[in-house]
Amino acid sequence: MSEPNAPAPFYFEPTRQSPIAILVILAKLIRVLIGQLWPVLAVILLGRNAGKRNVVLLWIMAGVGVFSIARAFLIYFRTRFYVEDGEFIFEKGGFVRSRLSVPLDKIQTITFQQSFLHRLFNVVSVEMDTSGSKGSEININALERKKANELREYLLTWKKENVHPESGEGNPDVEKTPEIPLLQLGFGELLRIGLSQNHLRSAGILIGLAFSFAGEIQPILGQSTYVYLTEDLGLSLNFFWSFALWITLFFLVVAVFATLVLTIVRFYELRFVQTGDGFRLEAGLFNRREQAAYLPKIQFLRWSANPLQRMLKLFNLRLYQAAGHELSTKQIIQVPGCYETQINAVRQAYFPGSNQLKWTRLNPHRQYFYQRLFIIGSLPLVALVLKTALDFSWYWLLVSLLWLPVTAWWQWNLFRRHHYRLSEEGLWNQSGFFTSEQTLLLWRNVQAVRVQQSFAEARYQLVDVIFYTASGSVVVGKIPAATGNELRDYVLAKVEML
Amino acid sequence: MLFENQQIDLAELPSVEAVHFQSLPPQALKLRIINWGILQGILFLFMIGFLSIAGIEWWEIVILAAWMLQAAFFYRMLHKRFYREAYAVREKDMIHAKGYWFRRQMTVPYNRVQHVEIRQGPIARSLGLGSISVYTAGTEGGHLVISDIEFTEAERIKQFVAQKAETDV
Repeated sequence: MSEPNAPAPFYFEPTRQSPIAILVILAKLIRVLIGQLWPVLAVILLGRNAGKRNVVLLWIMAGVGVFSIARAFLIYFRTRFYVEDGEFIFEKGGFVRSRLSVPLDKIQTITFQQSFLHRLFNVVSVEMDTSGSKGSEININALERKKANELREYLLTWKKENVHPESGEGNPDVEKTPEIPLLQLGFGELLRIGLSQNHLRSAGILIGLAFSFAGEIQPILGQSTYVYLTEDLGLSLNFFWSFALWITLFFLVVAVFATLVLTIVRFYELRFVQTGDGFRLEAGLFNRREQAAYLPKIQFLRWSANPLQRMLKLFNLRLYQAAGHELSTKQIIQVPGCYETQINAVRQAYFPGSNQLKWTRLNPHRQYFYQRLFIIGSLPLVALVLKTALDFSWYWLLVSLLWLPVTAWWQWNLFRRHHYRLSEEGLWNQSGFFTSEQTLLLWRNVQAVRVQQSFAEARYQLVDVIFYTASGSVVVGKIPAATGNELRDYVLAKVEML
Repeated sequence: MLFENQQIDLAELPSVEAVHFQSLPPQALKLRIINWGILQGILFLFMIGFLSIAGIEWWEIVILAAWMLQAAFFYRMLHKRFYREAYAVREKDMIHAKGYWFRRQMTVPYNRVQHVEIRQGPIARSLGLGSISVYTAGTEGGHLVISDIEFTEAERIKQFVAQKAETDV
């Protein structure tokens, strides 16, 4: 469409996938088969008198192999796609054939993915979410990178030109804006991000696992693991506690290492760019993902930072995107290691003028603190006191004594840091004590509004207002009923004017 | 004042507070009592079956008393909830309010509606009742469900909402 003299683009003709698709389909099937049948395979391979069975097994495997290869070829030759009369036609083959036609404006998101196999041959798999019912997703197993880019470009441009401006926010002047790289993560930055993840949580999970493991091996040792360690191994009580300390430290190190590896695998060579109509994220070591966020599809933004990340001035950004409407699925694009400049760029694109607007600050009522203190502080305290009274130990006494002050301190800080900011165009929430978090929501993305009041809130004339979007909900909780109703009426009027 | 410098005049905002709500038809209460009876009957049968195996002991009296208490409690709650439940069909949106201890009021603007669904169970059919669900693209419960209204009314609402959703978008 931009080059009138160029030969007709491939996507107007029925096109097959890249031949690499045969390999991809085969690999997928093998993975599924191994995933499903590995216990059987293990039994057969490790079982006794394997010699005779192996012959049978070989035949079965050969049969399955031939069948899978035939299937892969069949699917490859029978799968074709093309664009015709504003519809994307996807002919799926295999033993059952189907033909899917999706109006172009119903295509919600286009995602590229690259497994190791894809990267070897420089092809991508293309997934398209549609706003139809279940089973109307389009998945092209493998397509040459260049073609995939052309196709995506065409679909997005078509959408921009033909879909009437729903909100008036999309910039009509962008024809093909150059991409602006926002963030590019090198190895050093990845290390920093990996190290600043929430390790206490991972360590907690690991310790929990270890304890349940100790419970598991109890029947084997014939006594409690604690008794085993102290008596049979001759460890003194003191030694036991220092042992526990070392174990905890060990788990912390393991947790740090594990999250580090996971972070690197997941976000290797991350590239986050701003395109004319949204953002694109590429990342991954083995499985390279490429996710596109089309601006009108972004429902809300959320960015957070734990204390370590705050020290490094890093943020973890998440774009909540609508995908496949009726599937009620959501797609979250996570960009770790953002600095304030990147956050601001995304914020500016999603919510232009969010800095110039006048924001009214609103705090939750103290009942927020009372209620959480009651549930997290007082109720467990009763159990703790009972435990101490019935089965006295200095340890439980200490825990009981410290419980209330610590939870009170924690919840009070949570409460103090929780606030909402309201403007004509949207909502800006801030919350969190250890991990602080901000949420930015444009009113025009609201799908439905719920006002709710529990009996505890009724005493103080408070309500919670919940805004539903196509990618999750955002809550404004514990505000005065009158304000809540006013807010609801305002947002509804705003949405209904669209 | 929550907002200043706005395009919409707050005084002219259509407020949900001023809406005249429609309550559920009396048959709906009947239907809910029937449902309550069925559930409690099943519970009772299970309990009798369990007790007949175990033989009679003091704690069985406690279980029986507990069953009676909860049955009475839910019977009472059912009424309280019923009188709290109401809905309103407005020019641009639809509201449904319910709950006694936890009050919820859901509002769905017509220009966000994706589709509307009517359902009718066998007992509801004999009473001429039905349920209407209005779905939006909102996830995690972003839709509105009104149970046990007159079936003809549900059909009328469905038609109205569908027509509104069509013209508004």
